[in-house]
Amino acid sequence: MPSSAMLLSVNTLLQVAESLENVVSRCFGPEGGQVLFFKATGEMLITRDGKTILESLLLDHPIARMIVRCATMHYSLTGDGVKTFVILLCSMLRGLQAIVDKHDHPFCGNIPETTKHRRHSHILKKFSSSLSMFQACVLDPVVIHDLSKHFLSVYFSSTGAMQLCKDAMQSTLEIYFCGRIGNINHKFIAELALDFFYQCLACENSESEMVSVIDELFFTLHTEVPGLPVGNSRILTGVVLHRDFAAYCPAEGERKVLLVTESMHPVLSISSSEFVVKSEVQLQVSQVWMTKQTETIMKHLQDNQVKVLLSSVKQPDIVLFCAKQVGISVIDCISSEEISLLCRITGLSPDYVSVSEMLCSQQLTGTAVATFCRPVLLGSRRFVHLGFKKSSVFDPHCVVLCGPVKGLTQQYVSAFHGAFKMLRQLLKPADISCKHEQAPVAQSSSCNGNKLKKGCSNTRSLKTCADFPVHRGVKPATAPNILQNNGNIGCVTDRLEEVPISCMNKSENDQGKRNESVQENCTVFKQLSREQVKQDKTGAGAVQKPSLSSVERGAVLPVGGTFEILLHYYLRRCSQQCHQSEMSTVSTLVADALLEIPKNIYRSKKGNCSFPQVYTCVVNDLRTKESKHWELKGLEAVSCKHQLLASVLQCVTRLVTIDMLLGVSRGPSRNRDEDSENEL
Amino acid sequence: MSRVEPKKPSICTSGPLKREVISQSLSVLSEILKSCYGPSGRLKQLHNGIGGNVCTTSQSSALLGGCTVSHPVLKVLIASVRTHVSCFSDCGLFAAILCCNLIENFQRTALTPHTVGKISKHLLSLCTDYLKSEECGCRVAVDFGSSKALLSLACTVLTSKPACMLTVKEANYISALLLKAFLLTVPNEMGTNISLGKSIIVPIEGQRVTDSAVFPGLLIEMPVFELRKLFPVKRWSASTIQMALFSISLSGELPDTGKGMVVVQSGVSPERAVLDQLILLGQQMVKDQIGILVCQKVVHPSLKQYLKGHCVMVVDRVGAAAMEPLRRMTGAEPIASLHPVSSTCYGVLKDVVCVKYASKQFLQLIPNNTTVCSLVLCNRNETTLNELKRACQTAEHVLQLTLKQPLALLGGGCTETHLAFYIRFKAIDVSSSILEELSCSRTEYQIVADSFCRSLESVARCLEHDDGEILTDTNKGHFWSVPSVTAVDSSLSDFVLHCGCRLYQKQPHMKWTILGTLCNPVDPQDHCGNNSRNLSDQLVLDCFAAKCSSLQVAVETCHLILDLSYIIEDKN
Repeated sequence: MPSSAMLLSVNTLLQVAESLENVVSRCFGPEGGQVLFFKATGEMLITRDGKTILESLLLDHPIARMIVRCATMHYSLTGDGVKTFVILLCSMLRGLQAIVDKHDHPFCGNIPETTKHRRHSHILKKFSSSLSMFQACVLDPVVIHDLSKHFLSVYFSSTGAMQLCKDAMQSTLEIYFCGRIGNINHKFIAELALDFFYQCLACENSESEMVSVIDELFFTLHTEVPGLPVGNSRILTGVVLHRDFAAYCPAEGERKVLLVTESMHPVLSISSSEFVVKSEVQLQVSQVWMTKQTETIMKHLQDNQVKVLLSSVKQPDIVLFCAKQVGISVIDCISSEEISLLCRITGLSPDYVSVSEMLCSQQLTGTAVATFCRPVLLGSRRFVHLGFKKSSVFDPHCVVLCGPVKGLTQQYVSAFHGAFKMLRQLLKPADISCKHEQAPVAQSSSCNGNKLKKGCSNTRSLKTCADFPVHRGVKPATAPNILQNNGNIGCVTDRLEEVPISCMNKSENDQGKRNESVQENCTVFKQLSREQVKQDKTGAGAVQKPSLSSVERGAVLPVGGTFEILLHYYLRRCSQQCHQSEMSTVSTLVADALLEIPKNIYRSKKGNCSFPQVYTCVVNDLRTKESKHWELKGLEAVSCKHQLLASVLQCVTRLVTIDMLLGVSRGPSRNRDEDSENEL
Repeated sequence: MSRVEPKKPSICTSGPLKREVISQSLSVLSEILKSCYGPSGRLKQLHNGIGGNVCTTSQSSALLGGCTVSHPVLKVLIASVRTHVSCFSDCGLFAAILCCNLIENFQRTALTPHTVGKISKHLLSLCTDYLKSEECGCRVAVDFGSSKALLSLACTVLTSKPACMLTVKEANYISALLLKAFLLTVPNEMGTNISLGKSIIVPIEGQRVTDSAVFPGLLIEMPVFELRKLFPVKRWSASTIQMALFSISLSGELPDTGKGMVVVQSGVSPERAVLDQLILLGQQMVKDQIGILVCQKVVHPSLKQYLKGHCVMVVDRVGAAAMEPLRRMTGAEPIASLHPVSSTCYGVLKDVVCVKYASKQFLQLIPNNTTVCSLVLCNRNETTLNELKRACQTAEHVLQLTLKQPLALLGGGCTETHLAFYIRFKAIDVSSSILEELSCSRTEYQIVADSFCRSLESVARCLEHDDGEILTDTNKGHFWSVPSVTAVDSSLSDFVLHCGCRLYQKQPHMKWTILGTLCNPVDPQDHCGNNSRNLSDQLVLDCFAAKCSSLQVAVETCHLILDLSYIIEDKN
């Protein structure tokens, strides 16, 4: 930390961001390389994952750390896109610097540094205000209305019902894995992921719930096996518990499983109690009683047809011995994650706190039925393999990921997990957010899910949400999308505190506080939306979906910068039609910044595949309206891309509002708002 | 309390493979490994310089486990070979050398890592598909009807470890013993839930190798004076002795009393109470006509004395490792209770005898079935004995893997040269659809294929350490070694007799080239005439599963290393 105050200019921001870009750009795209990372413990990790790379650098600079944090938050939502995040951020900052420099031009060199800085920060302040409006007013409508004409979908409707298209899914996954693990094994792993997806699918139309389940439980649904070729990776039915049997009794057919959380063997004295030994006989009798008790309980379990005993704690030898006597297999020391997995997918529950309670109930409850229970040898270790019947959303399967070395299997695991995060985002049902009254609920739930904005309190967000009532009046379709907006809200609220606030009574909401810029933007917005309505009537017949506020479920676009080039095109058009200069500047800036991504993708390509060629090709197609004949190389999820842009915009807004870095001897106190550093 | 220190930024190295330091240290490692490879490999002595244990070896497990390397790239290579060895025991050096060769050869091509990766991945799949196909020319089916192939497998493993210092006769003797021990562990029953038994290696130093032997059952080493005290033993019948196996301590301590407090009033001795219980248990044993009591942990002297008085033999402190074999061979269930248990927990032994072997005394527990046996291994000194022990463990694992998948690959360099031969043939007329799929040009494909084949061939070449020349025949692509002392005026092919795997013998119509030089590739499957097959001799065979896996691991590790664009080290 610097010990003194340091002015922060766009230049500094750009320098920091570019140094990050430098690192990630080598690993960017399908031809990017791998990074070998040695932890302080000597553990080895192989990765192409932007998040891991940036985090492992342990950066010193506060701005760099902030960027990394923003990128990481984005990652937690979509499971990918950190490298693109950094590249896009850099490109936007470059655009921003160009704007700032242009303003400087007439007075070049004549003014002192501090004045110049003040002027810059004024420009940036204004810019950040318009940037934060940009998403809701320009970006979301453009994506939802203009871009959606070009969307392909992983769904197809055959007999009226929406069905997943296997090829489209495969293609989307392949592209994802190509970015995450390189282009040598991506096809194989993508096939594996798709197989896993379909095998876990318990019934049609439960895919989004099922993907959420996998995403949340993935930690326990996979097994890494280093030392075997990647091609040995496979899917197993049922679940693998990462323990060996404490006692194994082979049995046939279905068997009841019981979960216990305590030792089954009684002890002489439990904690905070005393056992007084009065005579030797008494001690012997109690010992005999304890053994008898354990035998009785095992007999009781046997009478209840329990064949498998799962335990979260270590069971003493005597319990294992008695269990073997009555033909019960025991697996002890199961980790809490695995216990929660089992509880979630099987309806298993630790109903009994103590052994005596268990003895009292004639019929044991909280048991589950396993279809099989056997040891499985994975690599050089033996694990327990349990089969369960499928539930309404999830058919238990687990994946075994092999690789020559431990670091590589970890990469596959994280990529595989990320794939299901991506699918979760892709298959997320579209939001219906015309109910503003329920906004706080939706807000808090989305916050819990993604922790995207720590510093922003919920009441504030509510206030900001209520800042856009006009949108509903004009066109319900463009009410701010809460889920994807939550990043920007923090910045809007920050601004609210500084800009004079005027009360608005037009709004139905009593908290309807708005500032002038909001109003301005809304007028811009009205114009825009009117044009859109016109377009929609005359244009290519995009279907009106009155209450849709986010990208439709399952929307995908061809890979290779199509999203960026299309969005560039529409944003450019938008900025030409827009009469409000600031919004037009922002649109142009974002539009141009977007092109940096396809430029990076096609950097090393020549001839037909070079960037100008691809760009002209896509734009020509657009003009001549035959947009569907793009070569189907692969597909990527639109919602992830959209989310990425939103995250970057939010990050830029946060960055440019800082005008000075202050070094302090101690970290800022914990209970202060994180965003308050803006006002320092 | 530890001091809180700010974390230091990590060290980031870009383009690691382009640096000279790294390619140098990689080639040093590769030279070390290459010189160890094969039956005539050179030995390495591992020592720490301050009087620690000295280990003379040429095995990858000992070599890579003992070496510490500083450079991250080498760490990746070694970690991947070691994980392979932990799964398959065999073919560690093959994987390491092949990986080094591939890295060196691919780097020379100056193609981008991802082009190389894609093409070599395709070549690898060609190899694995070929190895798995029926018409594979370097694969033989293992016939369990005869011991020949199994014996060859074991013998190949032993002879490829020169640090064992075995003569041909000794190697044959040990491989026969190994096979005998292995066959004993295969259970006679059929059905589900059948698993292999166990052969336990008992090393004895300072004896001749040919003194090694296989004993049925378990050998427990014991000093002579203790051994004498154990007998006599009470028999159930002439050929059965009842045995009780305990997994808990019978030392008379109070079992776990829980988290609370235990208050003992004065005059009460809990130890006395437990000991009384132990004696009661002893009485139960005597009543149940137990002949021998075996305990994993310690048995109280009073109980021992009591049981001895009733002709019950007590063997304690056998350790956790011996429990499973004991359970397996006697059918006894390890008892974990101090209270009377049902008689179904008891097991049966056929006999208990004293064995004096070399300088050591053993108690031999002889079971009725044979799934557990002890292999007594002898060698002249500690180093060679350790090496022999490792080699035998490897060979046992190889036999187990072969039982799972009854196939073997030709050894002695023939598989490598034959695969290279096959790939060269396939690479010539690669279809343009494949090239399109790989998005590479024909030339690129051929360059990578050539590097791939040369890497395979140079692994085979490593088998020759004495300046000899390697020939290959032009219709099978096998490996023919020529000793270095050749007369000037004669052709090299005059000195060959049989190929590396001994499957083929020299025939007059055969044509030869020096390995690695270009010749017109022909389809190795074309000439399937068995006329030159040599079926009488013992073949040199390698484990199929281990070699296939190590081939794949080597190529995948090579991809990984070539693809590295940064190394980040956290130096905190």
